[in-house]
Amino acid sequence: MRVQSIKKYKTPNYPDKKMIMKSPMLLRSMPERWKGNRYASAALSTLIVFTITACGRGEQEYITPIEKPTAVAPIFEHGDGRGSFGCMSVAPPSFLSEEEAFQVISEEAVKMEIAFEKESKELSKVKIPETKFYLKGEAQGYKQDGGKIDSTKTGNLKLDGYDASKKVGFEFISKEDYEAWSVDQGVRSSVDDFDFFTTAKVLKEGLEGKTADSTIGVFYNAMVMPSREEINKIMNNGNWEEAEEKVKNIAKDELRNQVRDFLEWLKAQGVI
Amino acid sequence: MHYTLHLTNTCNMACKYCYVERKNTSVMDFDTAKKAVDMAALTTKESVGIVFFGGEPLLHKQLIYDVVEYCKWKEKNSSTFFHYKVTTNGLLIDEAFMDFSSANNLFVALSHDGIREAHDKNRVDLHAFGTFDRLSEKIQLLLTRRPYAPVLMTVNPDTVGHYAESVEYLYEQGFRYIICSINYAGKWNESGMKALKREYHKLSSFYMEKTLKEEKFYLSPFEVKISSHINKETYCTERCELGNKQISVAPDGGLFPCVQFVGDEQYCIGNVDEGIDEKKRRTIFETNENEKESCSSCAIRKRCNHYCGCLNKQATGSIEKVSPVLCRHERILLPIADRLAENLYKKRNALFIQKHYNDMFPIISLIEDKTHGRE
Repeated sequence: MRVQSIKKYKTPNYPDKKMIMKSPMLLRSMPERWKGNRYASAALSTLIVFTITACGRGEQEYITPIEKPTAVAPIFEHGDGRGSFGCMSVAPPSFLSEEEAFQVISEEAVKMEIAFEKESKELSKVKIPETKFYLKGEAQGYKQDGGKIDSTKTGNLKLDGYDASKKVGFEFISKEDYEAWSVDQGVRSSVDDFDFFTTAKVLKEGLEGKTADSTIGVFYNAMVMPSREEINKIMNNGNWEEAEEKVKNIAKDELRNQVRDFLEWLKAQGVI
Repeated sequence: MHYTLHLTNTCNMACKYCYVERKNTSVMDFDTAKKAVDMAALTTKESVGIVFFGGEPLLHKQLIYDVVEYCKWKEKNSSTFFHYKVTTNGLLIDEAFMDFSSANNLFVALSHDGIREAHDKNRVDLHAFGTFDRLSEKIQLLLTRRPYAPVLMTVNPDTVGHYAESVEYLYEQGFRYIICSINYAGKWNESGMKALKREYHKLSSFYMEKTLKEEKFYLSPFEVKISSHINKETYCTERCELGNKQISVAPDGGLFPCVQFVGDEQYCIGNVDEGIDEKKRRTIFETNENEKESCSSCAIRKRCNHYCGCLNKQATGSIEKVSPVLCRHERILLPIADRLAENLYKKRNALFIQKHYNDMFPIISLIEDKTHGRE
């Protein structure tokens, strides 16, 4: 017998406490044995109110009023979601189109009996991120003093997919979205930067409280970068299409993982 | 913070898996115990646990009575509040002791391995006779007076086939807090591990059945593993921290970071006269906190017991070396516990939800018990 590491362990399909605190309605489930005991049932009601209203400041971010459960899923991180593309790029782009993403997301969702329809739901007064093509950070090996994706503008958002019977929808941050939401920085490099991950995070926050009674997932373009060896191979054999296909498949896998986590989360929340 | 007073290393039993060194007989004197209590009061401002441990602590009941009396006097003269617990093999439990336990809120934990075939295999007296029969009436006395008394069960390779049956037996006897420990230092092999897996599956069914019937109980292997997912970060911070949350006091007044280390001078972190050697305590704590190389890439490391230096020491002789038996045990138990919790959650079982997600569950449960029949 020896000590043996487990490489992968599936996230269990029951929520952790943070998730429950986001939707504390569940805590109102009362065991039958308490229903017949007015002391216990009164204690449960009182203590739940106490728990919800009297938590420390550090816990506030996980708590929302009982009647308004948070309905935007966390961003499930699979794929960096950041990168640059332009004259100096040697890697094929891994951008998934809206259509390709819809295909991947629908394939996974249907396994859980969720059938998404395209653009059938519009949310109003959403805080939509203002994206930028010239970002602060390190790109192409040198530091650049660009902007950050930290501002929003209010507008309507037509969800990329929505299942009216399940009241579940999604928005995929595509290259098209990134372009449509961009702001003029007064400067543009010959290399375009993309930060789909931060854009997704900002949109998630912008959707809070705007989802009516729906539950929304935000996915992002994984922006997969091939390994150095793969780049060398591409450079050597020049088979651009094959390389592009390969990178795109990796990006699809990353997106699939985001969707799977979202579906697990929906299960844990009791939405499906 | 707990201070565990090892009142003696002697025992009226000779359990085959016992790790206590008994070459030289030693008994704690009242003066040493008082110094330990003083130290506890000095280092802990609010509530501090005093645990009476052995050997068999009930061999020295009078010392327990005297220490509790001293703690009560101490409470009047300091801001510290004491609570008490004793871990016993049960043979010396009697009416007078239970009177004292009730009057002073002394929590009594009984060591018992379940059905006769399991219990008498290892838990024998000094003449090698099993103690199962002698404990029957003691159990009834204990549970009549202290219905929340926990039972501590050890699973050995030669008793693993009785694991589930033994838990069910203890449950039928009336225990509702069942703490199970695997003897990681035992001679486990493949067939033993397979048996362990079978038994956990049986126990999972037992847990499911009782929970669906809304029966309240605590069965440690499942509760701990389920909690490790539900409470994530807090689970990590609440786990055992060598020498930080618990100090073991040897009969001669030596201080050790946990019960398994008592008597091993290498791990001595001070004594009741001179206090705790902070540098040494810190070194042991930090050595234990370092992620073990063998586990650094493991996907379940945050939910695993491999950080328990005490268990590692017992099984491998080193706090830094993880027991392969422990590793295998965790890999067997975790998925079974997770499937169990998933099934109960899927059913939206109210008792499961309250027990695991509502921090106030113990209080409400107590209110229910105390008001039962008043409706």
